[in-house]
Amino acid sequence: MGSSLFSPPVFFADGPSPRALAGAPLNPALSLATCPLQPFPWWKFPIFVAAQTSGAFITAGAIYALYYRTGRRVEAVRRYSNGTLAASSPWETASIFATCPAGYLSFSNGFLDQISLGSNCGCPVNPARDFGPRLFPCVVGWGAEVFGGAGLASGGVQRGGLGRGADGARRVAEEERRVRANAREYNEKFQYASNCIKTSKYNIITFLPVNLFEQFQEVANTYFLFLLILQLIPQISSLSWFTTIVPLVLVLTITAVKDATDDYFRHKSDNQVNNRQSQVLIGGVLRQEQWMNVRVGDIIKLENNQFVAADLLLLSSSEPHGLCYIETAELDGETNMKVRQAIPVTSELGDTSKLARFDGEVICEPPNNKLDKFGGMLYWKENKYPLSNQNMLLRGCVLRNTEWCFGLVIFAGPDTKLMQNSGRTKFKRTSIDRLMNTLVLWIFGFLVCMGVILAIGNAIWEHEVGVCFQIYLPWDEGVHSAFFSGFLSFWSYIIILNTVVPISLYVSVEVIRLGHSYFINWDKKMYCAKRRTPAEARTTTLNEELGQVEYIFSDKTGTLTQNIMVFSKCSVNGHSYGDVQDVLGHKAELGEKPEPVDFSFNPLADPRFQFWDPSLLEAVKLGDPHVHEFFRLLSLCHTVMSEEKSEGELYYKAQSPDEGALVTAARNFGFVFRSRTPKTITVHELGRAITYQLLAILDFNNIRKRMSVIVRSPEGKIRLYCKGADTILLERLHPINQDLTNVTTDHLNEYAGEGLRTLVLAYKDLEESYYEDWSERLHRAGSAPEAREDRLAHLYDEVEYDMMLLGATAIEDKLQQGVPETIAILTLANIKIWVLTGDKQETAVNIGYSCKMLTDDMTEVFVVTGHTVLEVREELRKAREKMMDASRSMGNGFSYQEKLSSSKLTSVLEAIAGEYALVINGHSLAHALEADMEVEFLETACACKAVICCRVTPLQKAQVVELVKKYKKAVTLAIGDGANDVSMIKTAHIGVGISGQEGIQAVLASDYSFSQFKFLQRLLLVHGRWSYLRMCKFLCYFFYKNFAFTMVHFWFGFFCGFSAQTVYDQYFITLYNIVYTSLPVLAMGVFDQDVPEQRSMEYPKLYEPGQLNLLFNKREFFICIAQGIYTSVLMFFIPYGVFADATRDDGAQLADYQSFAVTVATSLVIVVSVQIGLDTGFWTAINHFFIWGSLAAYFAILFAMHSDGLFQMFPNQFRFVGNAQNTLAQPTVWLTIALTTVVCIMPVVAFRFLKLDLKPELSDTVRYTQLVRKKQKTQHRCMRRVGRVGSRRSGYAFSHQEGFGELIMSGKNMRLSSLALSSFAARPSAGWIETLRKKKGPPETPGVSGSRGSHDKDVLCGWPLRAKPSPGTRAMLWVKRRFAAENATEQRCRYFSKAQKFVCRVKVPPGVDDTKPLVVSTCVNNGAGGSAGEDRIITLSSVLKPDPPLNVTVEALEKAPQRLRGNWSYPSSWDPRFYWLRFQVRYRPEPTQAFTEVDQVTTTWLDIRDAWRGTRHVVQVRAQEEFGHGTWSEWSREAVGTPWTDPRDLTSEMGPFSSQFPMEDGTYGVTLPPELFGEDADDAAGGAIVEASARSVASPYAALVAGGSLLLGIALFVAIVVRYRRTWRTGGQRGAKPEGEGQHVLVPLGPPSSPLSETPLSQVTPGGPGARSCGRP
Amino acid sequence: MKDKTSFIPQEGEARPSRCPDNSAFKQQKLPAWKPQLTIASVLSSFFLTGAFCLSVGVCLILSANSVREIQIDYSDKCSDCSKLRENSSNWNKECHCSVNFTLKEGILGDVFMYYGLQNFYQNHRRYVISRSDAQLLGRNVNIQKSYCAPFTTYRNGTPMAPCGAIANSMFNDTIDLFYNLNSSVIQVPLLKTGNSWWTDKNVKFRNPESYNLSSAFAGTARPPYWQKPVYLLDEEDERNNGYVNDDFIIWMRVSAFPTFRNLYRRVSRIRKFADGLPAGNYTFRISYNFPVTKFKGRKHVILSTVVWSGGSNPFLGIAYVASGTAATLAGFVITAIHLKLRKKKTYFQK
Repeated sequence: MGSSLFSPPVFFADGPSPRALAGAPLNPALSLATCPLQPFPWWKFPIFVAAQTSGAFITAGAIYALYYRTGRRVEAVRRYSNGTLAASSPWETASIFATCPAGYLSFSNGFLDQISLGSNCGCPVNPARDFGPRLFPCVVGWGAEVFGGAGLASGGVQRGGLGRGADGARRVAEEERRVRANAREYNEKFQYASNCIKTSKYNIITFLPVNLFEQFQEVANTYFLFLLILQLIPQISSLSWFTTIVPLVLVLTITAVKDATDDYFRHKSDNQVNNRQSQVLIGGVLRQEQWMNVRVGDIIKLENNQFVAADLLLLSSSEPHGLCYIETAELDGETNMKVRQAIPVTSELGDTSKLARFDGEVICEPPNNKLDKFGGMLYWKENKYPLSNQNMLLRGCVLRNTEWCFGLVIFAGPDTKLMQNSGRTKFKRTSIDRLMNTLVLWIFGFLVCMGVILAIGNAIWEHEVGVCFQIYLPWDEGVHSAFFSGFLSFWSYIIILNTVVPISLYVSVEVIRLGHSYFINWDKKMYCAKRRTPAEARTTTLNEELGQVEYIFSDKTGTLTQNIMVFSKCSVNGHSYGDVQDVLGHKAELGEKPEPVDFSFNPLADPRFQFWDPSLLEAVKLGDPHVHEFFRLLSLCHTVMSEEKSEGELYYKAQSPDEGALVTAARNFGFVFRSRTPKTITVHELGRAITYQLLAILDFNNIRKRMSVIVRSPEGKIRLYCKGADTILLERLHPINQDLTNVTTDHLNEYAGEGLRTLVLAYKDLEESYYEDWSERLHRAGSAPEAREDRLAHLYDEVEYDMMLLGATAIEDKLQQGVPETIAILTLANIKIWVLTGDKQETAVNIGYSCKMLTDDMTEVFVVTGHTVLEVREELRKAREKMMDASRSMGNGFSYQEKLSSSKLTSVLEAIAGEYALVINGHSLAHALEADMEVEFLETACACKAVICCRVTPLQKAQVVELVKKYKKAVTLAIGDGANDVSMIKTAHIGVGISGQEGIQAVLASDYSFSQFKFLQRLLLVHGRWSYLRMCKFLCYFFYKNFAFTMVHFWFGFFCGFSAQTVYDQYFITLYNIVYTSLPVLAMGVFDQDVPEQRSMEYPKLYEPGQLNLLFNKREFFICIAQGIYTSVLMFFIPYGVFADATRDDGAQLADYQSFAVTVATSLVIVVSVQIGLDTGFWTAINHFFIWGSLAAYFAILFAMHSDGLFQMFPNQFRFVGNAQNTLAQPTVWLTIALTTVVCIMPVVAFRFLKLDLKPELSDTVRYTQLVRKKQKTQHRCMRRVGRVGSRRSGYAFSHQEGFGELIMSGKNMRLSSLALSSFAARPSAGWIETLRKKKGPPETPGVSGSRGSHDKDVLCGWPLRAKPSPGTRAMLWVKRRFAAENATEQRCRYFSKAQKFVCRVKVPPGVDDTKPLVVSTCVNNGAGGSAGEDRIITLSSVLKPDPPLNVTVEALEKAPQRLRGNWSYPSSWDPRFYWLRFQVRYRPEPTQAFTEVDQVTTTWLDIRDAWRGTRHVVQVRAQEEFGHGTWSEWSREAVGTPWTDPRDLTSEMGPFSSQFPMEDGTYGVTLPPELFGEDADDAAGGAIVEASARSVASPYAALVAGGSLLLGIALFVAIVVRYRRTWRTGGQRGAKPEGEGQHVLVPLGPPSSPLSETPLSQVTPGGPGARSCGRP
Repeated sequence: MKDKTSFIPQEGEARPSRCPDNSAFKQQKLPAWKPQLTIASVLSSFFLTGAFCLSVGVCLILSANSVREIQIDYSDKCSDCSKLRENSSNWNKECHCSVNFTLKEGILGDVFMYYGLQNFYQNHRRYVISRSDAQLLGRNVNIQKSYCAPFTTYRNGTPMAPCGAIANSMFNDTIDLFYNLNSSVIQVPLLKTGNSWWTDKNVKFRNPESYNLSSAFAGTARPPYWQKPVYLLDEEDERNNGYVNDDFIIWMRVSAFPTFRNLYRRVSRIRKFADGLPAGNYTFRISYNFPVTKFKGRKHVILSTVVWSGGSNPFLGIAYVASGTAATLAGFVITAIHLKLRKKKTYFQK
C-alpha cells in the first residue's frame, strides 16, 4: 500500500493566510528557509509551522475518519492489518498517514538521509507533511512507534530490555565462536563480550539528556512543549509562560524521578550480580575474581550450590566420569536435577596444574537463545571432540550434589543463553489506555472545533466591532485584517482551552496505578507464609485491566497442582486401604482429619509422610504376605537414587515425583530402600537388611507405560516386579487373577473417581532356566546393531506376561490450596477458564475433574483427538451439532432457524443451554489453530463451559491465547509457573507468574506474580475490580472537572470579543489541575471502594461490569463531558447574571473583571469539591484531608496571591492585589457561589438517586443490603468440599521421560561410599504391640435438622421418630456458638405426633453472625435411659427456609386468552424489611402433569404468557431468601385459574380462585409450620413473636415544604418523566420476563453442591448453581 | 543434601520477613465513612435546599425591590457633542450638554452616581493587559517591556504616564448634578473620593516619590487622549491627584463585561440632601469629552441606592426562588417515583 495513494491532501493548512504565506507553501522547512530572507519575519515562523502541522494533522484525522466507520464495528484499517496497529511489520498501516523509515534504517541514518538527499523513504523533506500526520496515528493507537521506525523502537526496547540493542549493532554478527582455553590474548582478538552485564539505562551524565529525550517522545509531553512554544509568541500568548511550564516541569520531574529510581535499582542489582565471586584459574592458580572480570576462555571452578557464572563447557568434576548435577530452575523452570557430563578426555583434568596446561580450542555456534541445543567441537592435541548440550553448564544453573567442577567459559555476560533469553518485555497497554488515547484525540478535535468557532467569532467581531473600537484598542502590529486576527485568536484559544486535555491526566493515571500496585504488593492475604512470598505487581500499568478479565488460561502443573505427589490409597489383594477414618471407624470427610498414623516404630521413616488409615500398618505388622510383597515391590521396582548423609537420614532423588512418593510410602511402612549398586538393591524390610541382586531393569517408556525389575532374592528366587498403567497391566495378568482383578478394578475406579493417579502392581516368578535364556537373548538384543529398541521391547513384552496381580496404588496429585473454590468463584464471575497443559490427556482431565472445572453434571465432555485436519474438523462439527441439537430440543417455545450462516453461529452457540466441556489434544490443536479452522475451533470452544488443551507446546499455548485475543476482543489472562508458560504469559493481556518452587522464568516474564493459584480470585475480584472501578471513576471525574473548568472560557469568549481573554487568574489556571483539584481525585482513585472486599468475593457477579466495560466507555465519557459543559454554563452564566448590572453593598462596581474571576474560580473549586465528595464513596481520613485540604489550600493560596507583599515585589505579575478580601467580603458573591453549587449539584444528586432507585447496579444493591443489615450482620459464605464420585478412570500418570534405568545399570553414577552397605539395626517400637481399639457405632441418635422461617425468627430444630415415644420422654437441646467458650443455652423439645417429630425452638443467641456455625446437641431420655444425639453444626444462613407464599391467586387478564396472572403475598412469618424473597413459580394446565417453572421472580406476581386457551391452570409458588441462602420453601397450595376467554365463545364464570393458607392457630401461625398441628396445639409455649408490622412508607418530609410550581421545576419534572417513562413501562413487564429482573438477581456463591449430598435440608433445585443451597456442614 | 535449604537463595543475606505489614492502610482497611444516597438523605437535602433557596430568594427580591434607581441614557441627548467628538481634531474643544429629569419621590439614603458604558470592551484581552502596574505603583520602570504598546511612548521617546490602552481610554466626561428648586439651581454636593477600594487606593496605586506631583511626573507625557496630564486630574485635592485619583483608579479596574457601570460620585449628605435626594427637578450638566459613537457605544448616567445585597439586580433573587422551587418540586417528584417503585417492589406486603 503505497503512501502516495493515501497521503493527506494538504490543502487545509494553506487556507487561513494566503497572503502572508505566499512565499512559503505549506512546508516548515521552506518557511525556515525563507526566514532569513526578507520579508518573512522570524516571529511568524512558529505560527506557520504550527498552522502547517495542524493542518496536516487535521487532514490525517479526516482520513482516519474515512476509514473508521462508526456504525460498523469493522474498521478498514484494522481489518487490513488483522487488528494490529503496527508501524513496522508486513501489515504496517501507519504509512497510510505518513511514511515510516523501514525497519533496517536506523533513526539517525534516516534523519540524515531525509535532510541531505531526499526521497528514498517516500517522504519529502517536509516536517509538516510528516510530523502532523504522524502525530495523528500516534495518538489514535499506533503509539510512539510511528515516530521512530526501527531506530526509536529499539530505543524504546532498551528501556525495558537489556541495552543489548546497542551491543548488537556495534559488533558484526558472529558467525562462529573460537575460544581457546587459558589464552586471554588470543581470545581478546575476537572482542567477545565480557561477563559484565548491564541492564541499567543511564549513568549520571547521560541521565538528563537521555531521559528528557525519551520523555519528549511521549506525545503528550511534546504537545505541551508545542503549546509552550506557542505561548512565547506575544501575539498569540493568551497565558503566561508559566501556566504551561510549571505543570510540564512537574510532570517531567515526577517521571524522571521514577525513572531514576528504577534505574538506581537496576544499577544495584547489576552491581550485585557483577560483583559475585568466582574462582578463576589464572596462571595455574585459582584466584577469586568478580563475575564481571571473568573472560571468555577462562577456566573457572564451581562449588556445590553455586550459581554458574557464565556458559561453561564442563571439563571435569568431583564425581566419577565427569558427571555433575545441576538444577536449571532459573533457566527453564524445571526443578528436577539434570545430569551433565564432561567429555571423557577432559574429565581426567582434575587438578589445577593439569588444567592450567589445557589449551584446547573450542569452535562453536555463535551466541543464541536456544537453551537445549549446543553444537561445537573441541580441538585438543590434534584431535576433534564433538560437543553437545550435555557438556554445557549454562549461566543461571545451580550446581547440586557435586562438590566441585571446572568449566571453560564459552559465552559470557550478554552472550549467555540466559541473557539471550530474557526477552524484551513487550509493552502492554490496557484497553482503558487505548480508549483514553482515542478520547484524547476526540477532545483534541473538539478543541480544534471550539478554536475554529471562536476564531470565526473573533474575525467577525473584529470586522464588525473591533474595527470601530480601534481608537481605544488598536490592532497589534502586523495584524491588518480581521481575518488574520481570527487566525491568531485560533491559536490563542488553543492555548487557553488546552486544559481540556490536561497534562496531569497521564501522570495522575500513573500515580493511581502505582498506588494500586503497591496495594497488591502489600496485601497480606496474598502473602504465602509457606514460601515467604508476597504477591508482586511487576508492572504498574495494567491494574485496571485486572478488573476486566474474561478468559483465563492456566497452566496445570505447579499452577493448579502443587506438583507434589502423595501416596494416598492403595488396594492390596482386594482390600482397599487409605480412607481417612474418624475415631468411630466411619469414613470421614476431608477436613476433619484425625491423627495420622504413627510411624514412630520405624526409625527410618520419613517424618513428612502422612497416612491416615491405621489398618494398613496393622496389616504390615501382622505380617500379611500380600501387603509385604506389595511394599517390597514398591521398594525395589523404581529408579530412585538414595543418598544417606548420616545414619538413617535418607534422601531420595527421584526423577518423577510419583516414584518418589511410592518409594517413600514403602519406606515408612517398613520397607526401606536403603541403597543401590549397579547390581544390587539393599532394602531394610521391617528392620532387616536384605540385599537383592538386581538382574535387570525394564525401563519405562511411553509406549510400554510400565516398568519392571528382575531381582534375585537372598534365597535365590528370581522374581519380576512390575508396575504400570492399569489399562496395560490388567491385560497382562494371569487369568487366575480374574476375581482379584475385578475387585481391584472397582477400587481403581473409585480412586480414579477421586482424581487420584493410579498404578497397578504385579509380580511374576521366573524360573532360573527361563531367566538364563531370556537374559542371554536380552544381552544379544542389546548389542544388536540395528533395531535394538524393537528387539528389546519384544523381549520385555515376552517376560512381562502372565503376571500375578498384587494391587494398585493411588497417588494424589496435590492440588494447590483452594483451587476448586477459586475456579468456582471465577466461573461465577463469568470468567472462562481454559487449562493449557503439556500433560497428558488423562492427567489433565483428572485434574479438570478434581478442580471442578469438569463435573459429572455436565451434559457432555467432547474430546477431540483427531490426527488429521479432516478428523479434527469433523469432531468439532459434531460437537457443535450436538450442542445445537440439545438446545433446540430444549424447545424454549421458538425454534432455531435451520439455515445457520456462519455469522449467526456465534450468537446461537453463545445461547446454548447446558454445560459442555471440550478437551483437545496437542496434535489436534495444531490443526485446529490453522487459519481456516481457527474460528470454528474458537466458536466451539467458547460455547463450552470448560476447555482443556493437553499436550500443548509452549508455542501453541501462545497461539491459543492469541486466537482468543484476536477474535473475542476480550481481556485475557495467562497464569503459569514454568518456562513453558512464558510465551503465553507474554502474549496474554495480563501474565501472571506463580512464584513458587519451579524457577523464576515465568515470574520474570509476568506482570503479576504470587505463589498460589487461589490468590488469583483476590487479584481479580478484589484488586482488579477496585482498580477498574477507581480508574473509571477517576477518569470520569477528571474529564468532568477539566471540561467544567475550561469551557467557561468558551462562553466568556462571546462576551469579550473572542479575544482569548481568560476568565480566571493565570495562577488559578496554573494551579487548578496540579494543586486545587488533583489530590482529592487522586485519593479517590487510590482509595475508593464501592463494596468491601468480602462482598466482591461473595458476589462474583459484581465483576461483570468490568468485563462489559460499563463503567467507563464512550457513553460514560459523553455523560461526563455533558455534565462538565453543563457545569461550565452555569458557572459562567449565573455569575454573569448576578454581576452584570449589580453593585457592591458599598456602591462600587461589582462586575469588575477581577472580582468576576475570583467568584467564578471560587465557585468552580467549591463545585468540583462537592462533586468529588459525591463521587467519593469511601471517605478515609486521607480523603477528608485531601478534600478539605484542597479547599483550604485554595483559599490560602488565593489570599497569598492577592496579598500586598507579593504585589510589592512583582507588581506586574500579581495584579489581583486585594481582590480576594474585597470580593469575598460581599454577601452577593457568596450567594452566587451557593446558588451555583446548588444548581450544579442538585440535578446530579437527583439523577444519581433515581438511577440508584430505579435501575440499581449490583454493587448498589449489595451496598444497600449492607446498610440495612448493619445491625445483624450476615455473611453468606459457605463452601463445602464435596468429594466427587465419578466414573472416570485415571491413566498411568508417570513422568513421561525415560527413567534413570540405563544410568543405574551402568553404574556410572554410583559412588564408592554408597556401595558399602551400612549396617542398620531395627529398633522395634513400643507401638508395635499396640492395637487400635475400634469403637462400636453409637446407638441410633436423633438426627437433628433445623429450619428457620425468616431472618428474625428462631430456628426450629427437629427430628423425626419412627415410633411414638413412650410417655415421659423428654428431649432437650443445647445450642452454643462453635469455637466460643460459652455456656450452651438449653431448650426443651416437644413431640408433635401428627408430624411424628420432636421440634424445639432454638433461640438464636443475640449477636450471632448468620454465617458462624452453631453447635446443636440433643439428648432424649425417658425412664429407661437416654441417648444423646450427635452434635450438629448448623449455620443460620443455611437453615433458612421460608414458609410458603400465601394468598396465591390466579386471575385472568382481560383480552389475553393466553395469559394468566398469578399473585401471591409474602408469608406472614417473613419480614421483608431485611431481606426479600425470591420466588419460583410453577404452573401446568390441569390436564397435564408436567409443570413449567419460572425462576428468579422477585415480584409478588407473575404473568404467565403461554397458558393454554380456556384450560384451567394450576399454579404453585415457593420462596427462597433473595440471595439463595437456605432452602426453598414448600410449594404453596395450588391455585387454579382459567385464562380469559372470549365471551362470544362461551360464558364461564371462572372468577379468580383463591387459596388462602389456613391459619388455625394465632400463636403458632407465624412461628411454626402448620403441618405440625394436630392435637398438640394446646401445648403452647411460644416465645416472643415478632409480628411483621405494617409500616408506613410515606415520607415525613412530604409535609415539610409547600412550594408553588415554577418553570424550572416543571422542566425538571418533565425531564425526569421523559427519562424514566421507559423504565416504568418496562418495569410492568418484569414479572413475566425473569431476566428482566437481572439486576436484582444477586447470585452469591452457591457452591456446586453434590448430587449425593445427603443432607435433609438441601434440596436439589433446578435454579442453577446460584440457587442451590448449602446443606449442613 | 541441602534440600531444605535450597529455597533460600545463595546470596546468604539474612532475609527479613517479606510478609507485608498488617496495617490498616496497607491492607486497605482504613476506617472510612461510606455515605450513600438514601431516600432520607436525598429528600431531606432537596427539601432543605428548597426551603433555603426559597427563603433567600424571597429576601433578595424584597430587598432588591427597595432599591431606587434612575438611569438616563445621554448618548442621544448629547448628539451634538458626540458629533463634535467624532472628529478627533476637535479634541480640545469643550462641549456641554444638559439632561433634565424629575424625581416624583425623593431618593432616601445614600445615593450613588454612576456612569454606565455599553459596548465598551474593557474585557478584551489586549485591553486588559495593556497597563503597567509597576508604573502605577510609582516606580520608575521601563515601560517598553510592558504590554502598553502602542500607548507606551510618543515618537520622540517620551514615555506616557500612565501608559497603556486602559489609561489612555479613561472616561473623561464630567457630570454635575443640579437640583432645580423653585427656579434656583443648587448644585448637589458630590463626593469624589472614597469611591474606590481601600487596597487600590493605598496599595495598588502610588504616585512617584517627589517633592511635588508635577516634578514627580517630569519627563513623562500624558496619554494621547487625555486633555490634561495625570498630575492635574484633581488639582484641588493632593491625595486625589496623579495615579491615586479615584476616577482613574476606578477606570483602571476593568470591567468583566462590555456593558458596565462605574461609580462616579456619591451624593454628599449635607444640608438639603441629608436624607438623600428630595423630590423635584434635577439637571445633569455633562461636559462631553468621551466619544462612544464610533464603536456604537452608549453612555448612561445612573443614580441609585444600595441595600445589603448591593444595587438593584433582580436576577439573583429570581434565580434563588426558581431553584428553590425546582428543588422542592424535584423532592416531590423523587418521592413520587420512589413510592411508585416501592409499591411495585413490596406489592402485597401490607
